[in-house]
Amino acid sequence: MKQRNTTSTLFAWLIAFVSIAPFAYVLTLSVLPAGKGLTFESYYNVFLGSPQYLLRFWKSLLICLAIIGGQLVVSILAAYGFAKCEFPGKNLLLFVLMILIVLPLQVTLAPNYIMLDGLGLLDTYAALILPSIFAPLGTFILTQSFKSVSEDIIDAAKLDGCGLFGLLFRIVLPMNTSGLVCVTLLSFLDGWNMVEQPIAYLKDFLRYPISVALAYVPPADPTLQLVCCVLVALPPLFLFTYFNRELVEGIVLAEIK
Amino acid sequence: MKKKTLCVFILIFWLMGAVTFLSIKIEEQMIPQVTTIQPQTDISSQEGQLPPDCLVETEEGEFLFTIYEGSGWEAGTRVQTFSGVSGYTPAEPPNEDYIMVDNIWSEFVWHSSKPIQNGELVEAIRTGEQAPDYWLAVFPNGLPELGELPQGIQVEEQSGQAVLFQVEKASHPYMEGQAKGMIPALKEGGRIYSFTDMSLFLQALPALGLLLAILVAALLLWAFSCFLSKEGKKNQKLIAINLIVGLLLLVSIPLVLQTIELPSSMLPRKEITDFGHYIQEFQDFFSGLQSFAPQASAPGEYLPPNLPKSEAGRAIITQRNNLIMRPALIVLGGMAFAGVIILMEKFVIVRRSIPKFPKGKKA
Repeated sequence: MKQRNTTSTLFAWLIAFVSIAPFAYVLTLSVLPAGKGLTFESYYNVFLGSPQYLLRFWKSLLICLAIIGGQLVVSILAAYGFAKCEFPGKNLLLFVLMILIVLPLQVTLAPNYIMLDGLGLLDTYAALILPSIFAPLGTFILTQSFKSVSEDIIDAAKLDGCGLFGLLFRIVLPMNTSGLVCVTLLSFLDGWNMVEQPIAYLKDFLRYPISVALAYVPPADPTLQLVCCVLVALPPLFLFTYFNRELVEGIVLAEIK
Repeated sequence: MKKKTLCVFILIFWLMGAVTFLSIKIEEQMIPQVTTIQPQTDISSQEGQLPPDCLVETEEGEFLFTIYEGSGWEAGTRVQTFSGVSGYTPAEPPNEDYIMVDNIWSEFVWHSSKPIQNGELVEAIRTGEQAPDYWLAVFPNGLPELGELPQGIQVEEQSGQAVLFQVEKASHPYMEGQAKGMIPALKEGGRIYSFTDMSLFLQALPALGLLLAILVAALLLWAFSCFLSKEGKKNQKLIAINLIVGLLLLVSIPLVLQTIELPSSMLPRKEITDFGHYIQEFQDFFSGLQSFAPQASAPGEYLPPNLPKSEAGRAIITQRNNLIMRPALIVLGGMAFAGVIILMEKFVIVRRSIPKFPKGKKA
């Protein structure tokens, strides 16, 4: 038993090392570029020398916040419908939703492009925000999460005169904070890491979020790219360190169901 | 763990916000201003002529620079080295030499407010405004023979290492290359400073001190808030107050930055935080001034009595006397501001901890 524990610990350390090594490499090389010794020149260039990196960072953050806000509204309402309401074709719709989750993103790029073109939204931030708001994963996770709320509690609340939105905001959501955090994090990551959508829907380089623009950082100075990587890693790092417990709980809950 | 994470990342994001405002201003200030010129040519010729002072001295040698529009991350007006020099033609008299180039359509850099390098972002201007100014030429290894000066430039004061010129119509923004071009004897070695630029720079120091004060105050409040967060629920209101003050401090940064205008000629070529450059500039400038009055003991006596009564001259002396003192006082003010808030909050905590006894019933 003890030997098994040691093996698992070693294995866990190995996985942790493999995961952390690239980030440690980026951090080290960003301050220790080849042949220059310890220097913060690239940090100066990214954080103080030119505002374009940070302005793009904040712009990308705003896009993500808009996506999270929209997706939470859509997912909460849809998930409540799937989890607690009865209507014809519910299971079929849920099945279609699950198919949409497994569909590769590239499949929906062309139809979305045609729709956005028809709406005149190409080359605007709305082209990035609107399709992401209706991503099906959030609805699926929250549906599974909302199912854990007992019908008795809901019936009791209804008997006490609680309306639909009262039920949602006073009973169901406070009981499912882990699911909400999980959806928030996953949709943030989706938005923060999006690459194909900006390339397909945006023409103007100035509108590109930092995830795409990172690839175009002048290659003359590779350290600059590494510092940009550190900059890009900050918000996910914060969200994961702050919400790691809720994230794990939310995913486990969705799996159990 | 959560509290610590929140504390650390609040500071990181606050600093990133502050740095965003700063970087916008820094880029605006650090962009060298350049005057441009198009080669002179007659219609039939494929070659054009440029004045010889278009050649810019860089670390890699002397180059001609043309203007181009960058794209992507490198969007904006930039300069690139030009290799199509077809000849250097000395003419009579010698100061009418010109450079032959095989590109007659490009805009060439003529003068720049500070040294430029390949690919650098610049602000291209055709001609600057003209106003009276004083130029201080400092040559630590000895002043060369001045020779004949152009019209509108007079020697106001001269010593073995420095010379002060009164200039009737100096172009603004000030460009050292242009000044050296006007007084060819001073072209090699040494520096020529503009009184107007130096006074502008010195006048901006208190505002820079205020920026530092804001940073220090925010850091102190952040540290105290982290301490308060140990008993987060009890101190919710106090932490909220500190957060609001922190946000107000952040918002005040662009307002302070609006008041700062640093002359390009006084700034380092690469990093605005190169403090060694400023120390060197101040040393050179004030040692040049002092060479006119070697007997001076107090900083206020740097300018001998017959020196200009110009506004810039007076500003330089006033600011020189308070070079360190005024910004330092402002930083201390920032610390005091944060200290007062912290003391008040400490007072609230102490008062809260004193047990309250019910008032006795009236007889």
